Amino acid sequence: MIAQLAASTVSASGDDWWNRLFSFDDYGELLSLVHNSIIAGAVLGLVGGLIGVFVMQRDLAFAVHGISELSFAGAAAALLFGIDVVLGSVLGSVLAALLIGVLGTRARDRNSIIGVLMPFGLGLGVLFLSLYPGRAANKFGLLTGQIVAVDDARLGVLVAISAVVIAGLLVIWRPLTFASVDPDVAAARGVPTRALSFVFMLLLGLAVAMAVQVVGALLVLSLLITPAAAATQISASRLMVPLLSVVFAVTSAVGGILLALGGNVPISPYVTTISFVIYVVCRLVGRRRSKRGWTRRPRDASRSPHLTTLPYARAVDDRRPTRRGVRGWSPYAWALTITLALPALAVGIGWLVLPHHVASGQCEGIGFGCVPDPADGLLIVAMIVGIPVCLAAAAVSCIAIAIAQAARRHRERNVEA
Amino acid sequence: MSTPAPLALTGAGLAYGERSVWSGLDLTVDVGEFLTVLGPNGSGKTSLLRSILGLQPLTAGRLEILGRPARRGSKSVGYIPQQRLIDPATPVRARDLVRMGIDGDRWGPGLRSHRARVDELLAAVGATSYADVPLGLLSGGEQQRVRIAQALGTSPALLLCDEPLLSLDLRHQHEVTALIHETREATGTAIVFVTHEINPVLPWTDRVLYLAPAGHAIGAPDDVLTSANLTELYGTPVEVLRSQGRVLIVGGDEHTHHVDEAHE
Repeated sequence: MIAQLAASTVSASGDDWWNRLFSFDDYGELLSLVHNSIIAGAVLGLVGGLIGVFVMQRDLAFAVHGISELSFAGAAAALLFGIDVVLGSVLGSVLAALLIGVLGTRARDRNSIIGVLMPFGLGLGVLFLSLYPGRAANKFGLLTGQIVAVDDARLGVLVAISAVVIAGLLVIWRPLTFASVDPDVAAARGVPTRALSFVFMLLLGLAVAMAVQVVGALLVLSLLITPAAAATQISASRLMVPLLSVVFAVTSAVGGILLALGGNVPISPYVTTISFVIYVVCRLVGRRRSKRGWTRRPRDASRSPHLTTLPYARAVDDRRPTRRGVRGWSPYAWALTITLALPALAVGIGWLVLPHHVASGQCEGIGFGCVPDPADGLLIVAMIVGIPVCLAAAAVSCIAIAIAQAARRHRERNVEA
Repeated sequence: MSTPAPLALTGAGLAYGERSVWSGLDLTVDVGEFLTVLGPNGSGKTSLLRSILGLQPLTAGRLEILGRPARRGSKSVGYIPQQRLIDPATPVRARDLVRMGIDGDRWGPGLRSHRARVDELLAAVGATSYADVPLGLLSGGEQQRVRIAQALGTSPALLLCDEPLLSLDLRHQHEVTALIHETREATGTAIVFVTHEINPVLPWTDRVLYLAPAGHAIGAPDDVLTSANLTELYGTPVEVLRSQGRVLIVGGDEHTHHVDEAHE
């Protein structure tokens, strides 16, 4: 890692930006160095994916951003005063989360409080960093993320915090959903909405502090919002949304770390790009879906003059027997196209477009002092990272489709019976 | 009285500091009864609902539900709120909302889906065809149907309706009130229906509770809604007009805007 950074300062001549983004000469060696980071990334994906669902439901995206800035200030202070950085960022973000939770119960109020806190936190952080005499890479990493050599002790802390957050979320899951989606009725049913909001802010603070360790304060949203936002584009099921959100977040975090190993730029561009691409794909799929209507539904059920419309609704369904989606092949085709055909096409185009020689004049190939040319480099990345990820994604999506169709068949059989 | 009444108020009173909202309220709502609560803004309709839900303690008297003091989160009370705009992006389907009515207040992730019960409730309100549609994509009338199904989740003895007709058009107002009426016929749940617009619920109303600045009145709609009665309740001239089974109340409201709820 350090050797790599040093190399980059020496040889950053501009014409080899490609090598800075992707070069996989000693990939295996690096992989063994950062396997702690990969575990941290996976755990963070799990936490971010789960908590993101509630961040969306409670409309707290801006709060996440605000908390992450104060988390940055805390971490910077810790760096300056020589205490543990994780501790510093946890303190900063929990303090911010509790402040926002206590002061901002109404949405507008909350946003203005965040708007007040956020620049103050960022300013404090900048102050601490400029006073800090150490290496610049550490400073930059807090904002934009880095593959810090997560040692075993720190990994232990991260996993422990995650366990607390996940356990807390599972305990308050049902009432928190109720209070987020339907606050009036939840309060009427005796759900302690204020206490829940407070506990949730606490958990959110912990999750943000973790995310700052991996993707940096500026890009926390890419793991805490984007995956959940993508998931809600394509599903409204209370099981599928958290599940998809976690899958997306883990893919972004781990995929980003794996790709970042090959380059000299910080980890966050990779993470943010992956999660952004996932979001765009989901958005397109979701648009198609909402255009078609979410489910097959008799057009004028609400217009029926009579109240218990069940026989009427069934008559409409009988008239238009819709086999589509019950056992169709088209969902599979879509899934395989997105997970396999598109990446393959992208790699193919990349191989054709990218130069087939090494700009820096080093010897071509893989081995001591040699680098593969950009086009071959792309192929290597695709083989090492792309193929397993894509195959896994294809398998997961096909299984999900099969389960969804089986469930729907089952349901329709029940309705007919 | 063999079975305790779904709702019984004895000498109930509520005051915010010096200001008394209502006092001396004696009322027993029987099984299957439809009680309509009327009154101008600030007359304490919402406070009454909050008291019944156990969210607002009385300052005088007693309030009992099925013979026990009102408490927060009682399963004997169902609650239908005002129709509220729900963001179409909220990942909640109609069936999820209904399920929350069954066990949304319990701790834990809640892996049981209660599918059979949810389907039964949705069918009872005629919402089967949009059970899996996200709530934000439903029309106002459809949302209120789903809300009724949600409120029935715990088979309550008492159903509180907090202005559920606001921002619904006339046809949907009729559908929703008729559905609430059918519900009490089928399940025997008592209804407390808070509204400022009597006409949509007039056909189903057994008794009216009229809360007004100068007191309250309880009785059959024809007995309570008279010019003399309301003039006395408001302390200013009020005229009640009737035409084709509809009731029109003229005057009164202008003079009551200064009476605001203390906690708002």
